[in-house]
Amino acid sequence: MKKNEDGFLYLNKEDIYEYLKNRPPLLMINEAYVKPGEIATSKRVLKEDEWFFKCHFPGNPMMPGVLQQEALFNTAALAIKTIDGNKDKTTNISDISKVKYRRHILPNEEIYIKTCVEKFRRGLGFIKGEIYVGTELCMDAEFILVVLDDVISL
Amino acid sequence: MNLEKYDEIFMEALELTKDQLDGLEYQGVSSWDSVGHMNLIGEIEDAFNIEMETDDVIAFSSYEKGKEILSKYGVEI
Repeated sequence: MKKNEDGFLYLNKEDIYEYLKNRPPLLMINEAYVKPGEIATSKRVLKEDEWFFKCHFPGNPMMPGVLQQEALFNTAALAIKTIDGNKDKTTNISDISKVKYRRHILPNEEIYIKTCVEKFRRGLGFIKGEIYVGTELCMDAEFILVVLDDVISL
Repeated sequence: MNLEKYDEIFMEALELTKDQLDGLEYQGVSSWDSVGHMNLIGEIEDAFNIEMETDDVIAFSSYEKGKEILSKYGVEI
């Protein structure tokens, strides 16, 4: 894992495997740039033969909205799990809101996923996420990512 | 003033109305689950500029009990 001058970490696929428990086909990202506790971004070129294009929909392929959300969750989890002490903790999503799908995402397009941590305290990360193709915003959402180990059971 | 702020936090964090606050206990409404609890505690800490000890986070089991706990941190409700 490399760190650049701006304090961003570069994570390749092997690095991501160390931080996330997701595995393909529900690991939607191959690489990421991360500023721990603040921001995480990733990119992915969607090939024509991606498994989900075959079934969503035959003859009219587009990336399913639920997988767009998963891409946001994967990326945001890196922003939280790269905070010191969080690497081996389990994260979940407890809430998602303000989801807007603005444009279809099609085969051979490259998606750019951006997640910003608005606030992180007491094990709760309040995240804003966006997916772009080029400069076009395709979807955005807000969600809460929970570090389960930090949530006290009463 | 502090009571007003305290009530506002409960209403906003747990999506409740004022008439639901009296007698409110942890898990007494669906929004006050373990995740809702940590959000509530975080909002209270921010609003009153305090940091609660873990024992107090656990003991914060009702709307009324919370007032007692906050007094330990110099916040009189």
